[in-house]
Amino acid sequence: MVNATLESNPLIAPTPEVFGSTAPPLIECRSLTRVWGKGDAAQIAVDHVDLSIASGEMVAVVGPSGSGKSTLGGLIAGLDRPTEGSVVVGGTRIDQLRDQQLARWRADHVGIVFQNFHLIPTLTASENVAMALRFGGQRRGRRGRAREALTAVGLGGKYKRLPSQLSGGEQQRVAIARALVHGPEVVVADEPTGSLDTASGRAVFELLLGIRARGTSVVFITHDPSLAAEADRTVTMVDGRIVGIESNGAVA
Amino acid sequence: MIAVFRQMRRAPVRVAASVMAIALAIAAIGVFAVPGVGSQTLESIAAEDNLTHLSATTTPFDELPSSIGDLSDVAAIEARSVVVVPLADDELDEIVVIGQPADATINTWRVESGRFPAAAGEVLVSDDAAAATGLVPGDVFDIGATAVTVTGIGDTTWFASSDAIVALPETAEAITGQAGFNRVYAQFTDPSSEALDARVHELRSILADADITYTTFPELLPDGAHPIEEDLTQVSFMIGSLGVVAGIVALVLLASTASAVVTERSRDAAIMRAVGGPRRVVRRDLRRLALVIGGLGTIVGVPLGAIVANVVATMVLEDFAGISPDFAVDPIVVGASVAFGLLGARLVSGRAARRVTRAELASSLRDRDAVPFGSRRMHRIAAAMPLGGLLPRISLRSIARRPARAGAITAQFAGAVGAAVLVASLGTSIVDFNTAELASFNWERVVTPDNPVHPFGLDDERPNDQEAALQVYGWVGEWEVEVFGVGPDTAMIDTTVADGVWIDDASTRQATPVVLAQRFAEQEGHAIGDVITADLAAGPVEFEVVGLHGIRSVALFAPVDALADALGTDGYGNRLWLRGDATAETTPGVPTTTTAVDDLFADDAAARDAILGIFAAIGIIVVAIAALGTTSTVAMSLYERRAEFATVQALGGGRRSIAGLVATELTPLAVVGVATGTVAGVAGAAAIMNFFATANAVELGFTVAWIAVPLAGAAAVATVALIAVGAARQVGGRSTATALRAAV
Repeated sequence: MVNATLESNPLIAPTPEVFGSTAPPLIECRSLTRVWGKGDAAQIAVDHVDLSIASGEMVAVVGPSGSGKSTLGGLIAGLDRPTEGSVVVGGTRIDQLRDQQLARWRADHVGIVFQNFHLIPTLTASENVAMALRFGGQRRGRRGRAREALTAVGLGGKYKRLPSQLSGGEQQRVAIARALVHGPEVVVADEPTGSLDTASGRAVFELLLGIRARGTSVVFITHDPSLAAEADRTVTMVDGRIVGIESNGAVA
Repeated sequence: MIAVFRQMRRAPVRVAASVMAIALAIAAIGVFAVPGVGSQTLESIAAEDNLTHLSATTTPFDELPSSIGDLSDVAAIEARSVVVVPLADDELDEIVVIGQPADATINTWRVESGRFPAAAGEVLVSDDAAAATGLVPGDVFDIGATAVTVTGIGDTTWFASSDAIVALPETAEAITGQAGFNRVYAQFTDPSSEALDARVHELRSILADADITYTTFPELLPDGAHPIEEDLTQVSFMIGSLGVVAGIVALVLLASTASAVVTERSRDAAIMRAVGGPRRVVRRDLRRLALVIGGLGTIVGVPLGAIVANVVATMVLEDFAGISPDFAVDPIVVGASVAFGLLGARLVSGRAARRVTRAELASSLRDRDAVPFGSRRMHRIAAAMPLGGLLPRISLRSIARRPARAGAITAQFAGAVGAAVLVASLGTSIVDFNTAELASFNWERVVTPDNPVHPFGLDDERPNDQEAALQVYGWVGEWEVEVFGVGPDTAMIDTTVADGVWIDDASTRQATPVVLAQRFAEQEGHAIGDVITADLAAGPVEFEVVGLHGIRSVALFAPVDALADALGTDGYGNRLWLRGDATAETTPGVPTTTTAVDDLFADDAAARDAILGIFAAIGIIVVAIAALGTTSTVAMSLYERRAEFATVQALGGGRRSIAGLVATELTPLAVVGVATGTVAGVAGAAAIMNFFATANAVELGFTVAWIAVPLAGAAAVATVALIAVGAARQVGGRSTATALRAAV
């Protein structure tokens, strides 16, 4: 049912041109470093990472806890600023944007899915989705597009449900709809299946595959090797460094 | 306790803030201790000075008659001479000269330096007079033609704030030229109010047999009271009324803090339950934590409250009695404060702990503040209401999500605004009353003898701008009344009556005609045609009520000749009212004081400013506590909602969005708070003024200080804006990733 909905919805329907190796990179991280704390308490979360991700590419980031996966995802999503290095997304050097510019950039160009969903508890499902449009400056048709997005993720009859009235899987689908509704170039999904049962996790992952299929780059942070294997590339991190990049079974 | 230390290590600022919030709440209760601390001080001074129960000013006498021993229940009775003497001195215009036997035991002096006079020609100088003149023990100075030596500096309650000297009777006589005594002090084994009333008449009768008469109605201090204790009680009542506002604010502050202390640990509680901790044990741990924080707050708050009480009591006593009190503690208020801190924390935390542990475990583990939205009907109704844009919906639904929190913030706004409106309205009403109090008088200056003599002939020919009159005090039932003896055709009093007629020919009446203050007459049920009895210095006098007057005091207007007859003043008055350019008539050897209406206004203004200063100080305390409470409650709310804010940031919301969210949530609460506070403040001020009007049988009037409302509203708007901007700065001051991580 989810797949059928995907195919019928223009928001996340497959596009003819998907990931191709010759396309220019959409995301370029250069010597990306993030240090938490200062002095003796300093902890290097991401250590001089270089990574390029093409348009429409799905990259899975794997690694043990504390390896810097989520920090890298946050840097790519513009949720955080690097201590050193640069992040360029779609030609914009986002690490140099001012706070307000970065917030606006996030609203226009990136969709984020969290392990803990991070839905606003006082807003209904459709209102949560519409929030992403609100900050993108879209004033008209928000409700319709939010409902379309919810329908696309299989929650057509639950627009008015509050997060507390939805299951974990449903909440994550709302979060995915919110991440997609404004048509971002990049979706960063930080362990989106981590809080879900196998079936729900699989369904959520299918949605992310659908996103990739319409040409949106997806950074998929996960602990699940089987899901990571279905991405275009798998980036493995240990102690803040990339120790391996696997592409279609070959190590880059 | 260990849990608290752990919590303090984990979140020291929040624990310290909670302790301080509870401490401030308890300190606010200290305002209730002001009457107790004030009375304690006054009664301690009264005991130290061995104050009299009855003080009667009389015509001069050489010695108390032997029949004085027949006076019932008498424990001690002594004579004094008290005479005001004019001085040709730069520093002092006049001085009160007190003749006191060396063995006197009543109304004694506290000798601060030197010693009490032991021989003729020696005097002890009051500390006020010494401060004004620079006299020290050993100095010799002249009073008139008499040279005296200063043996000491001291003070006594009865002549507090007076420029006075005390000496042996023979020295006093040498200075004043008046032999003997003119005052009687008496203490009784039964100093109750009723017994003293009876002793007044008994003593009058005994003295009359010896040709000694009261020149003024005696002053009574039942049950070891201090002369200003009644005034202090009334001021204290006003302060206590403000204390009620402070108490309400304190209650909200305590409730929100204790609740927050528990709510903060919702996730911990959920984890404890998840690993098998029974609800009862979890609740007990949460209550203990709140109780320990409440205890720490009490330990800090009780001394703080004692300081507040003593600071305010000092302001009151210094302004109204010139007394600098020692530090005192009201044990009842201390006990109540401790009970408030501990029981309040226990009760509130118990309720919060039940709420936290009753929440569904899975939700609690997900939702750290254990307030899932959607579980209650009110939530669903709020969610169904498409109110404005998305951010306003978040804000307004958050109010429905945490109604207790919203109520606390509203109550704190209401408390602050209520205190401001109440204080301002009391101030405005007092100012208006002071103006209206003298509005019934047409004279511009009044000449008053400094001693209880009657130097102004009532039948003397005087120009139109001068008028001799009588002004004495007496009692009608339980009320002390001001009795004015005036001519029926007086031009110095506004003779417009609200009902009946102005005083007229006594011969047509069943008793001396009198015009009563309307409010007093109505309150006491005295109607026109009634005959009332006023107990004056010379004894009971019957009056027939002929009219009601709008004067704003408990006053009677009676024909001056009839009053003089009743008082036995032989056709002389004790007031000379002047208008226009009239110059004061003086009698050689009779010291008088001329007081302009403007000076009376100034005196009233000084007293009013003192009261307003005290009110303002308490108002500021209340408003400050409310502001701290609001900030603390809002800070807690922001802390609980950091996940929402972080999400809004992640979705592209900037600082302005966060500020908008906070402001939108606070604005309706502030509006309701301002409205509620305004109504409560006006109602409270009206109730206080009405209480005083009834307690004093005086028409006080009531004027709402409407100007305070827009000012309070503006302050509320500024508070909301400050909190919103502060929240936005705090939230925006760290990266969104950090905020999201912290929110999980």
